[in-house]
Amino acid sequence: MDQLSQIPQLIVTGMTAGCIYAIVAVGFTIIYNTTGVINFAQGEFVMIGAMVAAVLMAKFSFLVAFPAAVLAGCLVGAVLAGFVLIPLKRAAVLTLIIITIGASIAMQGIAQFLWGETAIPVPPFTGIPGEGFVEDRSFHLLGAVIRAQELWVVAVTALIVIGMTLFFRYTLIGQAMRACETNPAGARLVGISVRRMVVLSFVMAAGLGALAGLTVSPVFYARVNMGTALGLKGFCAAVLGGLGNFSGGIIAGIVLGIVESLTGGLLWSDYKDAVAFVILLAILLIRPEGLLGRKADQK
Amino acid sequence: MAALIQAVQVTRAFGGLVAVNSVDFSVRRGQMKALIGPNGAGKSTLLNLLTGITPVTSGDIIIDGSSIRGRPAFHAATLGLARTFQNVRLFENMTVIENVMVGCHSWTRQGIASGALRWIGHWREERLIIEESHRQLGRVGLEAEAGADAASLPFGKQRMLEIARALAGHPQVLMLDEPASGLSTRETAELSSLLRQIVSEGVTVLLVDHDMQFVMDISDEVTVLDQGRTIAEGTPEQVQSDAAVIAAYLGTEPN
Amino acid sequence: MLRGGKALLVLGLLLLLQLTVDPNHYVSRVLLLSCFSVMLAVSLNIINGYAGQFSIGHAGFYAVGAYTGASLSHFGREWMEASLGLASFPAWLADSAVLLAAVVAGSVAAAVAGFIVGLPSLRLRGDYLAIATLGFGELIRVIFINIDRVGGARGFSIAPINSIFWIGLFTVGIVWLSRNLLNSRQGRALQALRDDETAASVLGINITSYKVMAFVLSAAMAGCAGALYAHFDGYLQPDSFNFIRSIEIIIMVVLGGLGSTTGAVIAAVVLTVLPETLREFADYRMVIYSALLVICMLVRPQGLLGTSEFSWASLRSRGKETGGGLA
Repeated sequence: MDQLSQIPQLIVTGMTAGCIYAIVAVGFTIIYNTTGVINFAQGEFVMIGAMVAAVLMAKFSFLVAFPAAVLAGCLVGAVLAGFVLIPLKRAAVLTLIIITIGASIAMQGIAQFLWGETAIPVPPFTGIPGEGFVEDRSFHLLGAVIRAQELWVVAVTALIVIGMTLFFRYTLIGQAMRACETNPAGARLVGISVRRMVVLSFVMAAGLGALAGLTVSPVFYARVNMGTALGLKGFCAAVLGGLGNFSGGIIAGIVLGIVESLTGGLLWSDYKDAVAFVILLAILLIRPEGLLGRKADQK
Repeated sequence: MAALIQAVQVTRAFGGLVAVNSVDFSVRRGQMKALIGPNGAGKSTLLNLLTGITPVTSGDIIIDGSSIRGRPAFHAATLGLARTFQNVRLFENMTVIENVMVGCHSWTRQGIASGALRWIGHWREERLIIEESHRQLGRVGLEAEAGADAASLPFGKQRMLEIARALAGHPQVLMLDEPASGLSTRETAELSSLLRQIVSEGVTVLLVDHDMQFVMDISDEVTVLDQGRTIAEGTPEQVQSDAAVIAAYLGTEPN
Repeated sequence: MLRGGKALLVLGLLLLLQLTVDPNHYVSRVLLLSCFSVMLAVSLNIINGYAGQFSIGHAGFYAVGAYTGASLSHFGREWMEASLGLASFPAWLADSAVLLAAVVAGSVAAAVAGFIVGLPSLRLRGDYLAIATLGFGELIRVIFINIDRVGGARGFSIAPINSIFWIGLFTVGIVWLSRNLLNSRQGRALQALRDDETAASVLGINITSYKVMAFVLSAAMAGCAGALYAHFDGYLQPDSFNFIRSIEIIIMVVLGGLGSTTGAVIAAVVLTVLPETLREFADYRMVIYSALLVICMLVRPQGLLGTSEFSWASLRSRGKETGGGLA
């Protein structure tokens, strides 16, 4: 009976993590759709957002820190896009994937050099002001304690989902990016610069990742190696939802977060981290194109 | 005489597109048979079905008495089938002779232990494989280029290499997909005499091609495909003067 | 027969080293560490280079071998001493027996893991198979972190058995096996399926079974290296088998040239020895590695040696090796 009462809390915690996985998955999807590359550095964008925000918040207000964090992410994304673009046309997809792997390690290494290995606490957006450490507000709902910051995470995620849907469906640029996915040669013929779209997709994915990072860092602390686990799990979510499927990635991310949290809390707490990979392997065996993906790629 | 290869009411559909439609097709042992038809007739698809690369949607393919339906792609080779491809599929990172040596795979047996540990069996078989590979290369006139990278050969020689590789497997049947395309007149003549020689050695040959002259010159029997169905079958002379065949070709001739 | 003389020479040399060199000396340690890297890189080369499959969880097989071998040695030693009468043997013989048993156990366990990971290759291609290998590698690590009997996150300590002879022997053996494979029927089949799966299957090559074989063999070799590594220091930590470790091995194979055993050996040695000699740059190691990797992919994706191999024959004749290696 005691277990059942924990469920709401577990779901709340899972939801928070799930939202981050969802945003990471969205980042993967955007890049995968435009270039066909699986960007293993996706998790590092989250880390960059979190770390830059954390470091700047110590000295400046959030009005400076937040945009700076997102901007930092976008810049790094642009740089990575540049590296991927160089061999893009002639290289095998696996070569490009190796490049992103190398980039992710380099980013972590540089971050470690800049900021060291300690975890940095980040004040929540709407915390209760006071001396020293800023407390966060919290609410009680159905037996669960919900921190205000966790609501922010959900809100930001929802904003991103809505924003992305509108962007891809109704703006010219968004449609251009979708054109690049389906038919790069055709896109070029109608004047769309594929190079620019590739850079844009990386910049967007990075910016979104950074946004996720700075939003979640008050909940989970900012640490230089937080990117790896988030990247891997967000990636599991992207595959679960169907590589290249936008809504699939989001739903899968949230589902993954909740399942992971419930499994960890109710069943085997030690193996919580394994859940994502077990699900990944299971989906690859049963339905590789993901829950909502189309049966395409036989590369 | 029972057919060596038999396609029985074979159909292959890709979603809504029916590429091969209830085709009955057979090749008898010792024949040099040709399969022709205008573009999009379904010839390559039928070839893929016969070799087991593409599964049939309905119908059956029987090779030397056993059905290959539902079997994996490599099974046809064990029944004595060999083929070449329309756009030559060589092993680009291997040398000319290594390509042919891979062709010997189906009649050799050395396992991983023997190869990795270099047991006597490995050496014995390697000698046989090398000899056979050199022999096949000599047959197609590529002996001198044995150690060269396969990717470095000019196109015509790449085609011959692919044939040598296919023959190295000691097949009962050799299927060739557009072997003359891209070849010069001289190379086509060499190909013709090579194929005649192969048939005289007892190998059955199935030829898919566009080049009418080439096909009519050397085949015993011709089947014509159009839009997935057989529309004529007979000797080259019979087929050439068949009204339906002429209509199919003239009708789909690009303007 | 042909190799008999060379084999005796190698054995003699290793024996000499075992008896005269101190394995705990700094230089020996570095060289022995590079032996592990060589075994890992050469084994990964079989999957990535020969068979052309993309596997990015190789550290998982290493871990399986290490933990299995360590467990056998730690928990099974008393049993072995009792039932095989090891206690009455001289120390070096008993140690060798235990080590060999651990290596066998580690290799077999890793081979089973390789089979499990290779099976999905039935249905998965390219990136998707890579993803599966990644998931597997991470899964192994998380599982081992949590098994308390083998120390969990704190690490697993066992009695070390540090033997230059055995490490050297297995390293030479694995490289030798790998080179042999290259010029054999099976090796050619693997390369054929790497270059063109359809053409290979038409020649009678069972694609799935060969891919699985590549995984099993490669995993067994990595497992062997793992078991030896476990006894090298006598201390195992799950974090030394993480994703980064898998990447390090990939870097070695890629830099050396996918498909070249010689390249893998050279890259493995260089990338193990160099960081040790440039200790001051240890912090930047990963950044330098990754920068190297990116540059390599941009400038020369086929790696240092591409698919060429070093061979005595080609030194003599200065021409391309024709298949067979009867020399």
